[in-house]
Amino acid sequence: MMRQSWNPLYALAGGSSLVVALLILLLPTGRQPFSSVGPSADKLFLYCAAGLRAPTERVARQYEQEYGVQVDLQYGGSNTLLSQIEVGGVGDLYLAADAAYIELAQQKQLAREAIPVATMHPVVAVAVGNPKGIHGIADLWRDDVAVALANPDQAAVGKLLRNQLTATRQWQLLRDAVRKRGVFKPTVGDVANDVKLGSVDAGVLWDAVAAQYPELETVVCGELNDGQVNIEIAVLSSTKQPTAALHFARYLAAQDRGLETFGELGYEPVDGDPWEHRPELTLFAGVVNRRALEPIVEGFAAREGADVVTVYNGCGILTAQMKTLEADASDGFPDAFMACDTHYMDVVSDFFPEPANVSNTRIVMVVEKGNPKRILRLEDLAKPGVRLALGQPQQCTIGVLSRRLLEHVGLYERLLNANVVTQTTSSALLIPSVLTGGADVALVYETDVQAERERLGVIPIESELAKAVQPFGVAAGSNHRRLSRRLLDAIGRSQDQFEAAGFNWLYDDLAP
Amino acid sequence: MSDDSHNRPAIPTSSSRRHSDADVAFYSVFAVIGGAYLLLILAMLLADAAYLVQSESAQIDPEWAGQHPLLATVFDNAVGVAFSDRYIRQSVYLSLVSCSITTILSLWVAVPVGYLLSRRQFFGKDFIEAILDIPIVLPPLVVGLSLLILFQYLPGSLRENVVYQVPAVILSQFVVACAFAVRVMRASFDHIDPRREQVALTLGCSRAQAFGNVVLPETGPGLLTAATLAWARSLGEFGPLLVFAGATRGKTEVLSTTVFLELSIGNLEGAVAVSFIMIFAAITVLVITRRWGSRHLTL
Repeated sequence: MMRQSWNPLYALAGGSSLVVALLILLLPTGRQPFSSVGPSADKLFLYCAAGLRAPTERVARQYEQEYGVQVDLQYGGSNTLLSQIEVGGVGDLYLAADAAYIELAQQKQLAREAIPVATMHPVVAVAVGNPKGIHGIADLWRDDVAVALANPDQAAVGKLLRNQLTATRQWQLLRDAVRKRGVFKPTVGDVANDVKLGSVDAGVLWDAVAAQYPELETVVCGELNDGQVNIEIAVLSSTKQPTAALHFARYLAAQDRGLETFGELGYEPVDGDPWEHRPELTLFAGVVNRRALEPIVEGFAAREGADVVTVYNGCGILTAQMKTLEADASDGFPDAFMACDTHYMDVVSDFFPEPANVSNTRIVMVVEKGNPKRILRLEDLAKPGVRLALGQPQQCTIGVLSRRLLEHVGLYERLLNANVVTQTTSSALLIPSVLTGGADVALVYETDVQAERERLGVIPIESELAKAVQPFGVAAGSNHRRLSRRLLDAIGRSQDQFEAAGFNWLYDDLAP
Repeated sequence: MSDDSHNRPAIPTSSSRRHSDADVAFYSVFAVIGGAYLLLILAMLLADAAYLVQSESAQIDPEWAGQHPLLATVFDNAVGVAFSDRYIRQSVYLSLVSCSITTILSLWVAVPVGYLLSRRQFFGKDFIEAILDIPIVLPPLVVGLSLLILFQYLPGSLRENVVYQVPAVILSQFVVACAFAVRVMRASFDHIDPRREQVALTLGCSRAQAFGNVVLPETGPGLLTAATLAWARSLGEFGPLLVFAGATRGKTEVLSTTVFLELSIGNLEGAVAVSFIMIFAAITVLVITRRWGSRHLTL
């Protein structure tokens, strides 16, 4: 008869439970990367394209030393990582070897801000000494040459190569040669390893990747000269610490921080912003934009961990200020300018090349409720006894646009002499003149009437000239060009806010 | 003996068979085929070693060498260089701990499941056995992807604490290792005569007592075999880990991930050095299994 009290089963179960508990205690714990919120995160999680490991690891280490924030790097092919981001739904940042993957992530609402980092070009890599005498792309389909290529459906370099060589029908020759004597590999790193090991005679790599292999030398091929991919880092929508994520992204893409490392390792860095722990951006904006712009700028500054100094004023005044600041070469020149109309952007086009049109708003006639003076058309403004309020053309865009509109119908001089009772420095200031009975009618932006629509009558103007288009430009000489561009991107994502403020949406994110 | 026996082919005796030329040829062919495979395995290992010896590997991390002068002298080779890397040391540590946890968890499941499958007949048994084999036949990446998708349906806090975190390493290893452990335990219980257990029951033991006092001691070698196989299987796990736990340096990085990460930057020497660590671990496990495990249990 067995003793009732002792059963090895229980001893084994209890003992193994203790061992498991002990082992769990021995597991590397670390701080949870996704739990912290806000700019003071102590850990970030970055999906990093495997080919970018060397510079990214170095930059992450440097960042940790400087700011005490650990950056966990998860490696994989850019495309593989994208799938992981999509399915995993966690993480802070995504560094892709090709901006096309970032765009894809943005289209899928997986990524928000993207910052350019560097560019790479395809080259043919061979063993040091070039034993097979490969001097051009045509040598790759020679009978005595075995070639490794990154699969065009998996890796960016393969895709680029296919696109470039298809037009000249060379792709078919190369593909057949690879199928016959060579190999297609999933990543550019695999191709480099094949050439390094001597498994093949040549492979097509990124110049920056080839530079990391001292055992390889590169052959410059004219056919590949135009090829290029852009490396970008993006903040993921899944992040709970966007400010901290952006802080690292800005660090990695700063010309005197991360980009230095990328440059040292053979990548061609983009022209990034200089590093600032908390950058300060100066934005000049025409007053008409204020209603829509203010909450967007506020949200942008909080998310970026930046200070945005926004100066709202009549565009004439702002552009005059800019010219003075430029002439004095003094501080305070704006990093970005959002004008009330393209007219004033044109005035400072030397400073703000390639502005993007964001929105437009109609110019309307605003009258007292009930329209007692029966003003229905522009011609009615010239009726005797009609008191008109206009914007000052030297100081604000509404003044310029009103003058252009009235000159077009031949009324401006007449009205100026007989009917204009006041001229103000902005459209918003014209509304009170009608509300208080100081004027019977004013030419204003439709957006400015929004708040007082119940107390005023709005008469539309049937003319293509009765419209103001709001452009956004980034100053060519700004130290915050990338940051300003992200502000434009933030504006570009705010169609609803602009439309709620009465603007019509124009922004096309393909614009520069 | 009847006359018919003259018409039948003569059955050769063992002594005559031993000396037959045809037998020699027969065994020679088999030996050559087997030997070729054996040579292939040995050649792979030797090639790894030769590559390491030939390569001009990087220098041992001076900081580590300063802290461990004796180890640095002993391991003044590519394996030493690999070991001097903080991340690779972390990877070795996480591999050892996670594989051990996985092994015990696998046994917790494999023992009762193996026992039930071996001793009981029940409705749908074949179906359940087929399901239990799924992790073995499923492509590794699919296991990882399925785990990743499964966690999309679980609460967010659980997902954030598992996906791409250390628990994901253990779960990825467990799903596959446990399936192997179940097979081994089931075979182990199959080899144990149930009569002794029944005798214990007739003498008044409860099921648990009979299991603990009679079956468990007999299945010791089976347990060891299941444990070592689960451990070895966990150590070599890569596909599900890459997808479900990620290849995060210094966090979810285990030895197989290290090989992948070192390859990704063309550090073949580092990758081969880490592979050597894995080969050493695998051989150790095999020796333990062959020496103390159950020889008749195979997969």
